[in-house]
Amino acid sequence: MRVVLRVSNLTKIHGRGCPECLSLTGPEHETNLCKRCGSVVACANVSFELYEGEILGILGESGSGKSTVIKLLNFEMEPTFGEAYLYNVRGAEWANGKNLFSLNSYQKRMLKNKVISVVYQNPLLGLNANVSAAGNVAERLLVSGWRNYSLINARVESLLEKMEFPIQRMKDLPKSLSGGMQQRVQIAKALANEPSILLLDEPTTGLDLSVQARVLDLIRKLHRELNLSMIFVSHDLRVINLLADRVIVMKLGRIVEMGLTDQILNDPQHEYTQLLVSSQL
Amino acid sequence: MKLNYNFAFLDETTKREIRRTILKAIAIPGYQVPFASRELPIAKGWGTGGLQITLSIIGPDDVLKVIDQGCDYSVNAVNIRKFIKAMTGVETTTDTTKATIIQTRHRIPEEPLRQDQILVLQVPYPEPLRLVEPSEEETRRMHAEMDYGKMYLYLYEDILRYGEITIGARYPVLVNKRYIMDPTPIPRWDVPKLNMADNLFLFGAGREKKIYAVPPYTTVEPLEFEDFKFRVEDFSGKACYKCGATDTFLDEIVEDGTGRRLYACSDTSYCEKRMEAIRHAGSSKSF
Amino acid sequence: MLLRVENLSKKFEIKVGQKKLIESINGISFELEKGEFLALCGPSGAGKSSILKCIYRTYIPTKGHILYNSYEYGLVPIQKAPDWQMIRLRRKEIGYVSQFFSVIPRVSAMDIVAEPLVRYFGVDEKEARERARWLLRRLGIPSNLLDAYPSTFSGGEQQRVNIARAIIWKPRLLLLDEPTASLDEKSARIVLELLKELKEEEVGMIGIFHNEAHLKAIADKVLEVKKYE
Repeated sequence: MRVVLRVSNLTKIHGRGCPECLSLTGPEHETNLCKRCGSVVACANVSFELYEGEILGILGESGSGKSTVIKLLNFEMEPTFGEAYLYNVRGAEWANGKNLFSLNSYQKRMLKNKVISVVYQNPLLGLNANVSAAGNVAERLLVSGWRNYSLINARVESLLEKMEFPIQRMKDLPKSLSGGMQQRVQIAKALANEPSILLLDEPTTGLDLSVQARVLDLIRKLHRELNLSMIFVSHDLRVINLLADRVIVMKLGRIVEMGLTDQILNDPQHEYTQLLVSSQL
Repeated sequence: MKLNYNFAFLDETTKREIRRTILKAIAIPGYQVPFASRELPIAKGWGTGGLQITLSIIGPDDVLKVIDQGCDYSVNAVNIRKFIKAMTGVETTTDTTKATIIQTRHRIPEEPLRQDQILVLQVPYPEPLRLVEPSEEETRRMHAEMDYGKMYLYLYEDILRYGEITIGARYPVLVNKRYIMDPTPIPRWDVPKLNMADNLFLFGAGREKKIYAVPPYTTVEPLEFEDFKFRVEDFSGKACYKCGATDTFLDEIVEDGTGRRLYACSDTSYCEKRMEAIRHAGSSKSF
Repeated sequence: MLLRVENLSKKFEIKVGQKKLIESINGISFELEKGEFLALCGPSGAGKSSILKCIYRTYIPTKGHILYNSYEYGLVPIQKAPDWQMIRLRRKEIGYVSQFFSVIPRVSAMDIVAEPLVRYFGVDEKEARERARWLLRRLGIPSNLLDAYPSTFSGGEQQRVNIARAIIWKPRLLLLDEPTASLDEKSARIVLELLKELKEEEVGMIGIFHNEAHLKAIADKVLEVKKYE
């Protein structure tokens, strides 16, 4: 099994930072806030590998840093330090072995468009509110240089159909769509250019249960059919159990435990993991 | 009392700086070069950008033509022409083929220009991406990184909603396959004239403080899709009621009294030439 | 040698609430050859399931070695094998039939059984579904249930889907936790027949049976697991 993404020592500190930030924060100190300088350590020393075709879960509660990791990997923020490397990724062979955070903004944009895609919890974060559902999906293609309207539309329709989104509504603006439908558009958009890596930040949290189930089924189906490598962030153990082969458990910005999903759920080693597992209703 | 003005009103240092800006613009076709717009006896928003370009490049041997919406005799064209003539003493003309510098607002003359002619266009809004992005910082980044997806998205949405691209004037073009440019509010009819022309085009936005250029023999391609191509206005079945032309850009006129719709050449000097020719032909002189 | 377990021990360290140490198994050792069926016997709570779970790495052994002879990797010390390797072994070599059916919602019985073939063995979807259908029918699942969701099945039917999913791809090592517990005699016999066929194909198996007759019908050797003292 090949590694497609390797993250090393990823750290993000909000604020001016000081030499003691890392030693004064984390699960043993029960805080993210550095007493000495008041900076917030959103995540620190996060290292892991993502294998081709796997779903890696990140389990954590608010303040765990799980969303920060996603935002960093999607180049929405610059890490304070740390590296990330891509390997064996189709369409991005030029990036092989290079620290992604050292790339220039044009190169990062190329990766964002073609290789790494994000699906957010709030679909409106991933969608352009002033543009139709079809337009949102088409944007990715247009940026990649597609210039034939009929071909673009054919692909947009096929993607939306795959997401079980009603084609008759493809001209509608996102705000007139239900949460579940917005999410489907977001996923269609994320998949438009056939990325190799999909980052999902709690994509079903907040949706009605029946809608949640359908979107999760969709994600499972896509994973099977497209052999996507995915990082799936959630606070919900059942969802992680359903989707992920391996899980990273995060607390207050640090990884506290990492292992096979069934092992984490049945034989949690770290105190915090045991607490999470026993807290499920 | 006669005040002593420098030739062409602007001082030489200013002219030199504006020329430097113009050279930069020519070196990077379609790229908006910022410049510090000067005080003129004409208010900003009335053609000061184009005027500053003309004043910086004009010499005593130049022949000047000024038009506004194709017409030499509209108020603004007349004022600008009088001002430049007063400041330089150059010869002025309405004949496109005789001019060496033509300053224009919102139209390109019908007669193709030569290598020795310069067309100076007045620009109200230099930024073509403003249509899809309000932030100046962001549009500059988009130009720098050639990140034009949003612009094509706008066209896509037009086709999705209306079945065609609905942009009329200010049709966005890709210059030298690199920068998206606003050709100013010229009609679609005139856009193809920019592509691989023999002459130099200079664009001046005085209020917005930008100068850009399209050098001769530069590709200027309107944004389009392979299956939804750029089209010019359709005047089939219509002709100029004065000279009978069926191959010029026509203005629609509603006749006083009758309310009849008439069409007339927008390029008035070209229309007059054609009418002259018809008169001569009528008096059995060949044209 | 397919599998060697040496001095396997498992303790659970509870760090939440009432902190305590729960001892599950201690000093378990045995060896398994290809085509052999080892039955684990002992009173309830003795830790038989825990042994299987340690081998499958659902539990992390506290002490001891588990050496598995992998087709792909040679001798693998499971207690310290990296996660990605365990995932691969579970997909391609080590099968597990648990006592409880893990409900994968909204997937039909036939698709659940066909999935491993399609995803990990590159079998054409149509063919995989055919094989799944054949196997489920053989296990006595009525044809009208093949396209139904197992969440509505009886315990015995769910168990048979479980078994089918694990044996359809013929693992090298198969772990079975009470495979016949919810089955009637007829179904149990069919399952034992299938397991016998797997034995003949050199699949090594470790199983827990509560029914002694079933155990005797299939086991080559027996390990008595005593409650941890």
